[in-house]
Amino acid sequence: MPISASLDIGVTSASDMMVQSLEVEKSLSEVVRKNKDGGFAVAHAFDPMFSGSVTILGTSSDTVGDNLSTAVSLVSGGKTIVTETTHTTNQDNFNETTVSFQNAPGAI
Amino acid sequence: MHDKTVYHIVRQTIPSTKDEASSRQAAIASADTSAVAGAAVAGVAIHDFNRIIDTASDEARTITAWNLAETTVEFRPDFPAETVTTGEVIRRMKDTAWQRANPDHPISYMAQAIEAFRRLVRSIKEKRPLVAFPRGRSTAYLVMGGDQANGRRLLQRAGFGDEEVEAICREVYGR
Repeated sequence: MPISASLDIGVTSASDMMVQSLEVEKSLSEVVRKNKDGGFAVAHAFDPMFSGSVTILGTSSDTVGDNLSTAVSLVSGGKTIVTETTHTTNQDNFNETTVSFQNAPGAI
Repeated sequence: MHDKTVYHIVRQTIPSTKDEASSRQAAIASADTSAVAGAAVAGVAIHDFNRIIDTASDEARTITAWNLAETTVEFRPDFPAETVTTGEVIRRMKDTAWQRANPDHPISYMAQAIEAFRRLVRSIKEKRPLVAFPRGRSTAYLVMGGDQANGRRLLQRAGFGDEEVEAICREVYGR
C-alpha cells in the first residue's frame, strides 16, 4: 500500500571519523538459518560469512554512532548484525567505539 | 547509526570517479539508487546513505552504501484488470488523490517510486561525501568541505606529518 506508507528516508549529515583496527575473518562453512528477528533469514549453508570488529574514532559522541554503519559497510554489503558495541572517551577527547559484527553478503 | 542492530547494506564500488562531481553523478546513475527507491516504496526504511571517495587506491573510486532496515514486506495484488488510454495513464500519474484512493494499483506504485527516487537523488546531492586517507592500519574519513579543525585532529592522530596534513586540507577543504 505505497501511498499510505511513509517514505522513511533517514539520511543523516556526514561526519569525520577514523577507522582503526578493522579485523575481518571469512568463513565458508557456517550454516545460517535465522529468522528476521534473529538476523539472517535465508542465507544458505556454505555461503561466505564474515565476522569481525572495527574501532572508530570520532570527535563528538553524536557523530561516532552515525558512522558505525559506514564503517561496517566498508567491509561488505548484505545482511549485517552488530553483535556488540562499546563506547569510551579516551584521553585525547576522542570518542572511541568498538563494534563487533557478523555479515552475510549473500543472504537474501 | 540507529537502535536496530540488524540491517541490510546495499553497497557498490564505482571505479574511475576522480572528483566529487563525477562521484556524485555516478552514485545518482547507479542501479542501486533505483533499487533502493523501489524498496522504500515497498515499505523498507532507509537508515542512512554514505558516499566515500577513495583517491588512495590505484584507481580512484567511489563506494556507496545504503543502510536499510532488515525486514519483510507484503505485496497484495488488489486491483481490477483494465485497459486505459495513454491520457488516462498520464492523468493518474499526476493525480495524487486518485493514487491515495487506489493505493495498490501499479500506477500508484510507479508514481511513488519516482517520488522516492527524487528524494534519494536529493539526499545524494545534499550529503557531503567522505574522502578516505589511509595511514598504516588506520584510515581517516574526512567530510569534504567540513570542519577543518576536526579533520586536522584526526589526521594528526592517524600519524600524518605536518606537510601531509596541509596537503590533505587543501584537497578536502580547499585551503
